[in-house]
Amino acid sequence: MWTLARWQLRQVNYLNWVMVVCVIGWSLFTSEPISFMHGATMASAIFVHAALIVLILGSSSTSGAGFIYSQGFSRDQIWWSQALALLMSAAMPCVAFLLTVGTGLRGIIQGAFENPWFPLLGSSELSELKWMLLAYAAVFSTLSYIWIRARQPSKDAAAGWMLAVAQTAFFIYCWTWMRFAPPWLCSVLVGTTLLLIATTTLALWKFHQSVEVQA
Amino acid sequence: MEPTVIAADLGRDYGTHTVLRGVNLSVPKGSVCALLGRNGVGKTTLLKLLSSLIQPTHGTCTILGDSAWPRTAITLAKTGVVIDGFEPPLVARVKHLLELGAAASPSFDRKRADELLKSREINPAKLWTELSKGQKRWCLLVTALCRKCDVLLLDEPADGLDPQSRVDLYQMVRREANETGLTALIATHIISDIERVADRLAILHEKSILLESDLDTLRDELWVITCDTAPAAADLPVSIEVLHQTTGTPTEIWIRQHESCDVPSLSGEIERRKPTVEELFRALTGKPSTEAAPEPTPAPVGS
Repeated sequence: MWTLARWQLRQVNYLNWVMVVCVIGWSLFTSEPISFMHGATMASAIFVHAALIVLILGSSSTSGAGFIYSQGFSRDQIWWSQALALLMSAAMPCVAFLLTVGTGLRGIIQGAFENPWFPLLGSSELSELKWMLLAYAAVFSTLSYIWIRARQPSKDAAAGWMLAVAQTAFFIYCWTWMRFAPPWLCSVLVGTTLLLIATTTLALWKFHQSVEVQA
Repeated sequence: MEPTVIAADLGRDYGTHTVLRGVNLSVPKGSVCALLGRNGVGKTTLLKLLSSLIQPTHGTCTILGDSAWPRTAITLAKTGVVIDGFEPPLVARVKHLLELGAAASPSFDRKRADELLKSREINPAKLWTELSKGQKRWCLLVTALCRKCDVLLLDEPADGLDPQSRVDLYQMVRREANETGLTALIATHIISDIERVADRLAILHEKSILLESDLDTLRDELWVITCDTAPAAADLPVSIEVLHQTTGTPTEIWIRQHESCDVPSLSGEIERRKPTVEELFRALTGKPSTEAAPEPTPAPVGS
């Protein structure tokens, strides 16, 4: 399992390191308080990073995917290794964020720049980590669903797109309105998002059993 | 001997396009079967179906008694597959391939793999992009062979290999088949390779298996008889199957005798001979010889 996961991770590691550098740079030098709900910069970067990873690891129509599916591993083994690689890919920028913000490095840099927000905001920004993880989970599950439905023997690609579009619309709605919503509505939206991610992931696992490999 | 690889009425459609239909194939344990067919006839699709990469739209295929789709982990671990066009990503190193082989099969022979790579001066630390086409192919074959599988499905395995590597590859496959009961299905266009390694032959033509037989039996049963005029069907014994007949005069009749009896002289017979595998393939799948362009005569060695 680990060997296979390392194999998967190796394909996207260069992207992960680029993202780590971006996260470190952004979290060290952004003068405004970090808030995923109020700024699109990191949300966009997370979307691009996650989308590229899904494109590379998730596609079953590349030569590399054909190779891995023909090496004697079961669909379950491949699925779990991919899940592990996706988790690691999301964890790398999150850990970078945790280190720069949590260790107070951002506070020191911003203090040196005489940013009036610091050191007041140092610890409160750490809670943004959960939004980062949620964003990764949402993008991974939604985009993976598109290709996995397209690679079913029944070739029902439209079903994948329809669900992905609906889910994306809901996530954008949540992201846009959550900042204005009362706490109870926030909890409902986050709960619904988590439920959607969980059910999509379960569906992904189920559909992965019957994915066809066409390189 | 019990068949290890079985295709029963196997078919595959892509939308309205039918690639394979009614494919019946049976490869016994310990046998090396060469799969011949013209370009685009569906050899790779057949191997993908057998290796559980795609799902049949008709019929079933069974490997080691497992006909489920996708196959169980146990069967997959015992099946070595090298499909033309399936390659590791550019960032992979040769040693990563070996690690993957070991992860796929606990019986992976790492020592032998290292020796085989060393014999072609392939450094395991090399990046995939740093290898030549032949070296890449050799690495893929070594990984599949050293997994000590029960079944090997190879698609154009000799593509890019130098003549010595081809000989070595087929010797290894033949030895494994004889000693460990490995069953191999090899799709290839190189007829000389077939005669070197295979003991069975299957010809895929027009979406299904046109001919499948033990090679020795085929050699015994096949005749090409040249006659002045085409004999009437009624003149031929019932034990004889006419596989192919050329037009024009003199005419060539390709026959297969199904019973161990002498083929009687046909009226107007000029000569009879045993065809080569290449002649058989071309006669069954190609244009009639009268329509084909004349072959250039190769220059003698040393001229």
